[in-house]
Amino acid sequence: MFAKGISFALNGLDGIQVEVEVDIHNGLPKFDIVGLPDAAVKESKERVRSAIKNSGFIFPNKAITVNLAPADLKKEGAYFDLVIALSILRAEIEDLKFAEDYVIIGELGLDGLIRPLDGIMSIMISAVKGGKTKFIIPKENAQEASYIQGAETIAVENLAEVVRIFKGEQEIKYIESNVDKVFSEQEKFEYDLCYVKGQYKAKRALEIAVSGGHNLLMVGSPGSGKTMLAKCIPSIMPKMTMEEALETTEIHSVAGKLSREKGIVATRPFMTPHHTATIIALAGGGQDAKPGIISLAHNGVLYMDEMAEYPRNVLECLRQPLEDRQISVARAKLYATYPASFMLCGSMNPCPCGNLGTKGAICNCSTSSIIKYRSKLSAPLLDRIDIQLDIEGVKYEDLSSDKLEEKSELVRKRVNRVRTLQQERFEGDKITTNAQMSEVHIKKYCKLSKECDEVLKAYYEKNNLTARARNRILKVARTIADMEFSEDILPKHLIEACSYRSKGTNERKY
Amino acid sequence: MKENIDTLALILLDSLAFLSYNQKREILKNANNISDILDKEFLLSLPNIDKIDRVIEFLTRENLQKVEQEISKYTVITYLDENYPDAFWQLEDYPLCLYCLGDTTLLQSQDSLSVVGSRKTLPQVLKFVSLLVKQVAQNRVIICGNTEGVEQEILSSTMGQNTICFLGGGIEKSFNNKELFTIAQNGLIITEYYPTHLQKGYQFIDRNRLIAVLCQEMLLISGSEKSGVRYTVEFAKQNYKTLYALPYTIGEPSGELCNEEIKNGAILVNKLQDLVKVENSRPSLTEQEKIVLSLIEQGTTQEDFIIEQSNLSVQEVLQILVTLEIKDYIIKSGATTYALTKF
Ligand SMILES: Nc1ncnc2c1ncn2[C@@H]1O[C@H](COP(=O)(O)OP(=O)(O)O)[C@@H](O)[C@H]1O
Ligand SMILES: [Mg+2]
Ligand SMILES: [Zn+2]
Repeated sequence: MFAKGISFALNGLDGIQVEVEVDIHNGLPKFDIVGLPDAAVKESKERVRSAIKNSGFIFPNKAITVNLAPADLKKEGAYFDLVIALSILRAEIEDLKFAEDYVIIGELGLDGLIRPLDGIMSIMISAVKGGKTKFIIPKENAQEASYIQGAETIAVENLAEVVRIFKGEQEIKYIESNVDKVFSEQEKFEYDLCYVKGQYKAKRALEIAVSGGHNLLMVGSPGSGKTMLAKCIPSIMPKMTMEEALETTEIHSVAGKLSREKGIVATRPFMTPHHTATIIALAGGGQDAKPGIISLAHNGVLYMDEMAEYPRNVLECLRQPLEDRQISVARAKLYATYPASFMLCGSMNPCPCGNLGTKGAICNCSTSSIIKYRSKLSAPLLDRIDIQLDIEGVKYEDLSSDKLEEKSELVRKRVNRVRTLQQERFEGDKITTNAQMSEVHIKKYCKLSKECDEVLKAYYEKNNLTARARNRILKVARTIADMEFSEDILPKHLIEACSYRSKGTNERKY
Repeated sequence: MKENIDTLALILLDSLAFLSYNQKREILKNANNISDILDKEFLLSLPNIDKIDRVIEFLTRENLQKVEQEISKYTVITYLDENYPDAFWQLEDYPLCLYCLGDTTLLQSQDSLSVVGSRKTLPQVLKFVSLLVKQVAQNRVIICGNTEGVEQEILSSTMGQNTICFLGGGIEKSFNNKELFTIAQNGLIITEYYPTHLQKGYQFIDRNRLIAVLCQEMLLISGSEKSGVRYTVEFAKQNYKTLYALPYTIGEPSGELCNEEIKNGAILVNKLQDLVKVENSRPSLTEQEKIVLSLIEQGTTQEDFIIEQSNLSVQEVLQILVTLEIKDYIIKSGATTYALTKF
């Protein structure tokens, strides 16, 4: 007796098709699984045997061999429990028929209940791309599956239910598609720019940063409002597109961080790792090569509070994703690559005690300790942070309080327009925002008039800037020009771009 | 008309070459109205005036007309006038009258560079001076004398444009008329000596004290260690003027003073740009820039408050702050605060 089924394994974000073949013949009773790591085999056999028995079926007392192909794939056993169990039962229960084009995924509990799995969305997306349309998946994964277009999916609770379905004893109910509902709800944000008093420059910087996709660093003493400002960022970012939502959901799904009720990440993530987070937690990797926090921030914001407190090696691991917008993580034999296109927003104190540069506060830090503190952020890392900003708490009662602050919703509308403009310009350049411009793009899109050149030169001489800062200033100037729908970068755009530099990250004590 | 009589009487007194400056001050000190000095009784009541007879002989109402005649070609600014330059009040012996020919508004400039040097100056240095002053005179006022050497070189280079030329004697005795005419047309000729007074050697040093107090900065072109120009330099330094000097090779007598001053902290100038750049470093401001600058001057130094009080947009204020920084008017003094640049 021979039966076949199809399931999927996960490598990084890629679903990989796995063929399951079960051969049952009379002979000395045995139960072998070929193509799984040893430890996984033992656990899988246990679960399949118990689940079959506890669901009221008879586990055949015969020689059973299960072969999983491809064999060289390092896979987790749990994904194949259900398809193995069903294939074994087919050998015994004659009218148990299922089309072999069903993709069957599910982990079995000893009691026959089907447990949810991580990464179902990734698997289904890969499978649909490979031409598969029919799926059996755990009930608890139904929500995330409902956002996949072109799939007919049955979500099941236990082994007995699946058997009934395939025997034709139970009506098949496909899960309803939720694709249209993803963005129907009004997004609600806890933080809105209209609650931030004053900080006009910071708010402008936030708008520029989000408009051009620039990374942002805020330097300021504790309580000056850095965290508050950062938390407003999602409220002015453009709404996620379906494509972006699926990308981000996949990552959250694979990392096991997806809310089962929501099933999708439809608002931009705002990830706040703590500075004690390990490299693996941040970048991903480890035993099962799960995505790290920076990948979970994909299409959203990575907010690193107190950036200078992070260990050096943790900070430096940001370089690759900031450049490539993805990150490779290694596990025993394989590399997995996860997308990591996020806006980095960092904050730090101007000095170890935090008081430097604040009016009326005393800083007792030695110059050497300040230099050491600031040098935590290396030049290559700072090169990737286009906008750097000094923040200072203001006595807000002194500001004219009757002035109505602008709502995030309005800012977001402007941001949307500037983003669209960039997408149109960069059509064919494989980038979407000004921040992503490479040297070649900068040459092409940031041409400077003679007057602009002179302004930049004057600013450089005044501030002893290194050549490295030039590209950052140009990119930001491009965004400021875009915000005015100006084809050319004008001196005023360039000059404003120059103002987004922090005193707190250079070497002078002021 | 009374004012006019006072002024004329003062000029008449000033024209008396046989009286010393201190004697003139002494006479003026005792007069209630300046026109009192025309009164014989008043003059006789003064104690300790030498040559009082001659004074009485000359200080008459009749002579006022003669003076009026003699100065008719000139603008005379007396120490009683509104537009008398404030700088001269720094002097113990401030001039009583200034005899001017040309644009007297140049005296109000707050951005002037005096250029001083000796008669003996190397030809290649003169060439450099010529190029330099032409450049500087584009946007600053140049102050110099009229002696041969450096000063003549300056005058023939700028042709008087933006130039104030101090004379060491009366105007009529100092110039051939054609030269006078060109410089007065483009700039200003000024002296504290009555038009018909002769030049005397020591008066150049006196003349140079006016140059030293009137200018904002001084450039020393040449001078030996014994040269009279050293008094001028010393005087400028005592009055807190920034001093620039050209460097010379060892053993060049006409450069001894320059090298010495550089050693003492004068700013070395060996390229046109050294000075011309400094010249340009504080260019003029637009109206909006002035608004922001005056807020900072009044103590509104924090970004948020500047933005609120200027009624300009956020981005406009940010642009202006960077521009003012580039133009050297302000510096970023704290995380979000600015301060005026100290000069
Ligand atoms: N501009 C502001 N407008 C309104 N509240 C502010 C502002 N800045 C700071 N606050 C208040 O001060 C608190 C501390 O700010 P926070 O963002 O945590 O500072 P930081 O992260 O710089 O230490 C916030 O909870 C907020 O309520
Ligand atoms: Mg904070
Ligand atoms: Zn400190």
